[in-house]
This record gives sequence, structure tokens and C-alpha cells, in this order.
Amino acid sequence: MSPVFAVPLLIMAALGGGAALLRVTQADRRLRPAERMTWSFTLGFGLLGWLPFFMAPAGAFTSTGFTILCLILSPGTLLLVPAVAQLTKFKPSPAFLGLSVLLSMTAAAGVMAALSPMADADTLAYHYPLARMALEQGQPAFIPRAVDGAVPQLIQMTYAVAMALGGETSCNWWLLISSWMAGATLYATARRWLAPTPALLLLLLFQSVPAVLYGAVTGQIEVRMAMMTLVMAVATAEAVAGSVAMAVTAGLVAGFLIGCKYTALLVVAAAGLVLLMFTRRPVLLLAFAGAALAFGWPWYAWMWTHTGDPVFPMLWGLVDFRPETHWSPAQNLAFKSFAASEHQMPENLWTILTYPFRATFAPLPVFEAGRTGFGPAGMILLPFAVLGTWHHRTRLAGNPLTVMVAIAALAYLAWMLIGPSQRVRHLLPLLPLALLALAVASQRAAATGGWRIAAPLLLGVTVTLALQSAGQAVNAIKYARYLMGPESTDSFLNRNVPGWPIAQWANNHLTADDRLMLFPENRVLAYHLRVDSLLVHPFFQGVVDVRPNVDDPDRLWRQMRAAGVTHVAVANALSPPLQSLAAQGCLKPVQEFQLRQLASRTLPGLSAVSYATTVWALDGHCWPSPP
Amino acid sequence: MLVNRFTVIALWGWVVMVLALYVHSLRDLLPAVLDIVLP
Repeated sequence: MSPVFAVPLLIMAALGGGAALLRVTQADRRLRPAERMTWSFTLGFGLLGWLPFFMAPAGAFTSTGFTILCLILSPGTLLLVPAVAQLTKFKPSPAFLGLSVLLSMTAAAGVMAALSPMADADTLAYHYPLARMALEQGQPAFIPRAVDGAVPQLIQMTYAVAMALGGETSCNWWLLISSWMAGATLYATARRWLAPTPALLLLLLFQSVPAVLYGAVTGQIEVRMAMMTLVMAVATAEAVAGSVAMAVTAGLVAGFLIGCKYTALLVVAAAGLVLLMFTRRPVLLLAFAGAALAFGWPWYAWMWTHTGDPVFPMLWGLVDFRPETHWSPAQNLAFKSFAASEHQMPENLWTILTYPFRATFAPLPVFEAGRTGFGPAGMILLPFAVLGTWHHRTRLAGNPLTVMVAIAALAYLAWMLIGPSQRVRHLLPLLPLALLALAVASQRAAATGGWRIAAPLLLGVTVTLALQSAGQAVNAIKYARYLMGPESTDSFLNRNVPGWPIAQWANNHLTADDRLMLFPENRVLAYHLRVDSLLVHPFFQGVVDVRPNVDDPDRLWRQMRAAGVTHVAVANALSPPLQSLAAQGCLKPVQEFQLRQLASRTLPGLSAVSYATTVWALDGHCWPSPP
Repeated sequence: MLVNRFTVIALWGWVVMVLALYVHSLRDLLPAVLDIVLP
């Protein structure tokens, strides 16, 4: 199906499915028109990732099955007709229109990214391959690799639906639309407390945050999780006010959320705890927990079935792992050492308090805060928000924002103490809640203090927006060059995908009987390879044990042969066991490539390191001698 | 609300300081940005 038809069908299906769910829970009665639209999309987005899981056993995990699914869900959009009618009555102010122009420029940059071939490393390494493999296998693909293989895949299933309907271009558009719906959800929520223009300003601030720019039109899931987290938090706040319908809706979104990523368990637990703290009505807790369980169980049951651990590999030592996980005590130790390296600040109170400042002004490398950080908006708003909060301190109790901030604060606390990384962008699901609370409190300070307060606030926000927009413009240059110049798709991929020549070579020279083993430096090739590949990571998997300091060529050889590997693409600085295999003639060099390391696709000048990679062929008749 | 001259000066100072420190934290990116922005 052409993307021209596939993308509108996907949008209609998400809106229709979500609107129907909201009608079933009866939460739609408590929502304003803009919220009904954005909440419908959010719930429908979750539904489009949730339903395919159950379509696989019925043999309906196909493009036909997904087309029928979308056609069934789409009529639900009729439920939104009254909301659309009300929205069309909105009369924008000149300031609103001015900001809309800026917004459309931001959107245009996103459109350019959607029209270009996907080049983001993580997306090409696992988000898109997981979706494509699921389509090829007719069911979610299980890969015995922690962190990026054996993980909940609800969002990747929506990618599979988009790919099945209209290929990669449709999927790119789906990324663009779902990321912008995160901003739209923030706008609709902000309208509860802010006038249209400040709410739109907040949307612009969020949508141009570096971490959002980085993750929006890529397979990165955090922007889409931010949309769900925001809806769940608002629904929880409404549940605290006594609405059972909202408690069910919050639980329903919570169920979708934990289907996206293990770490969403922390956010959902925070919401449950807040509900417990703020209300004494068991029915609300039961409604939330029941809906969360009903919609959240599939991926954990799936993981348990495949590995023996519902949160693989976190319960190592507590449950029996299945042999097909290839997990071992040594592998678990390596995984733990990797996890420890993701934390450069100790997990303590000082870190919890200082991390936002450190991440904004003096980030450690592991934060990845420069090009994929949160920008200065939060810090700019902070003192204004403190003033506004202090002024309205008597009205904090009973305010839904207090509940939402409590959820974000508890989730942040849990993340900093037991979360898997200290990368800023991994906290993106909490950013809308933080920005919303800061913006509302700042606006209250400005409203009370007049121009003396509003002037520095406006200057700070304007300069922040200018800085972030400039960053977005720089980010869009690579897409503009491709779309508006003579550059071919091949040349674009060569410029933006490190190791692209290897994929070209493999696609032309390897056959359906071959399997190319990739190391992490070439993981980005997984999606573009048209031959079978196996990504071996030193810390995340044990199918082929390539941990550093492990020197057992005989074992490595047996594992590679057992995994069906016929070729290996590896940088020329070979590990000792590979050196040994090469020296014994078991690995024969086939083709060498001179590649350029790419620290950033947007700023290629950040890295000027070249390195050589060779594709080696395994000699099937070889049997290496023991060391 | 405590909106006196001190508060206003402190807010202006904060905004300028945050922006200056943030831009300073990105200084390493500037050469690479100029690489692609300037012809």
C-alpha cells in the first residue's frame, strides 16, 4: 500500500481505536476536545502495539491482517466528530499564529527527516530489524540478547504494522506523527492551566529539546513513552479526585507503557504508589492495578516463556534460565560490569539533587547530554516556578499537578537509585511532566509579579527557543542536502551509516545460506542487510561469547558454527581468539573496507577517526587446535 | 509575593547565567557546527 493511503489509515486506526477505548472506560466525558483527540491517539497507539501480539497465534500477523485491523478500528474516529467540531471554533490570537509559523518550521524539519532514509544507529540496529523480523516470522521475534533483543516490544509492533502497511517510508511518517502527538498531548494537557499561547510555547520548547529532536523521527521509543506517561499521570491525578473511569484509563495506559520497556515499570510503580498515597478508596487502586495487569502482562509472559525470566536477565540467580538464553554466571558478571559503567555518578542523595544541574551545565560523557540532552528550559524556569509555587502554596493540596509532579519525582528517584543508566535521554518520559509543572508555576509567578518577573522569563524562554531551533536547523541540514540536492539514496546512506559499504558488499556477494556475524561497531548494518546476520555483543548475549579477556578459540569456533555463522565482519584489531583462528586458517580474509567512525550524523566533524574492517569467511572444514 | 528589586535582579542574573553556562557546555560542538554551516 502506498504511504499516501497507509499513513492516514494508521492515524485513523489509532484515533478510532483510542476513542473507542475512551468511550468504553467513559473517561472521555471528563476530557476537553483537544484532550479527547490526543488521548485517543495515545490509547490507540498503545492498542496498535498491543493487538498484534494476539494476532500472531491466529496467523494474522501479516499486512492483510493489519489492514483489516486498521479498517476495523478506523470508524471509531466518528466518536471524535464533536471534539473536532469544537476545536474548529477556536480563534487564534496573533501571537498564537506567530508561534504557529515557528511550529510549522519545526514540523517541516521533521517532514524532511521522515522523507529521508532511516539512518539512526539504534533504529537500524534493533528497532526496525525487530519490526521487520516480526513480519518475516509472523510473530514477535525473540533474540536472546539483553537490552536490545529480548525486551518488551509494544512500540516496535506499531512499527511492524506501519511497515506492513506501507514500508519504511510509512514507518518513518508514523515516527514523525507519533512524536508530534507527544507534543500535542502536552499542549492539550497544558491547556488545563495555561492560555493557548503559553501552552503552544511549551509545546515548541518540548518539541525542540535536543533529546526530542534526536529521538522523534527515529525508532527511539522514549518520545512515545513520554506521551503515554503524560496521559497516565493526568488520568492518575483525575483518579485521585475520585474518578473510577480515570483509574481504569490510567491503568490501561500503564499496561501499554510497561509493554514498551522494562524501566517503565518504575514509572508505573510510581503512579500506583502515588494513587495509594493520595487516596483511600480501594476501588480506585483495584481499577488501576487490574487494568495495568490486564494490558501489561503479554510481554512479560512472552519473555518468561522464552527465557524463564519475565524481566530477562534481571532475575538471574532467582529463577531458572532456559538453555536457549545462553546466559551463564560469567555472562551475568560481564552484564553487571557493563551496567555499572553506565553510572558515573554514585547512586545517592547528592546525585539525585545535583544530576539536573550537572546534566545541564557540566555533563559527564555517559550522560550524552550535549546533543541529546534536555536543553536549558527547565533550568531557566526553575526560580520562576519556585516563586510561583511559593505564592500559591496554599493551593497545592488538591491540585492535579501536585499528583503529577509526585509521580515524576518518585519515578526520578527510583530511576536514579536503581535505573539502568544515567543517560539524560532515557529520562525523556518524565520531561513533559517536569516542563509542564515548571511552566505552569512560572506562568503563575509572572501573572502575579507582572512585567518585572515576566521580562526575564520571556527573555530566557525566547533565547532557549532560539538555541534549540538553531540546533534543529543544523540537525535538518543533512536531510535538506539529500532531498534538495542531487545526492542519491546510496550516497546519503554512505554518508550517514557507518559501514554502509559492508552492507552493499554483503548484499551483493553473500547468499541466503550465509550468516554474517556483526560486532557492535557494525550493529547499524542489521536493518540494511538482506542476508541473515547475528549481532554478538560482549556483554548482552552469550550465543557467541565474545567477552573481553576470554581467549578460547576452540569454544568461539564451535559457538560460531553452531550459530550458523559463515562470515564475520570485524574491525582489524582482532581479539586474541579471532587472531588465533585467523592464524590457523579457519578464518580467511575476503574483503577489507576503510571506514570512517561517525560520532554524530548531524556533526560528522566530531570524529575524524578512520578504521579498517575486514569480512572473514569461516572455513567449514577447519578444526582449530586447542590452545 | 516577594517581588522586590533583589528578586528581579536575581532572576535576571539567573537567566543570563543559565544561558551562558549552557552555551559554554556546548563549546566543543562549535567547530563541528561551523564545519557544516559555513560553506
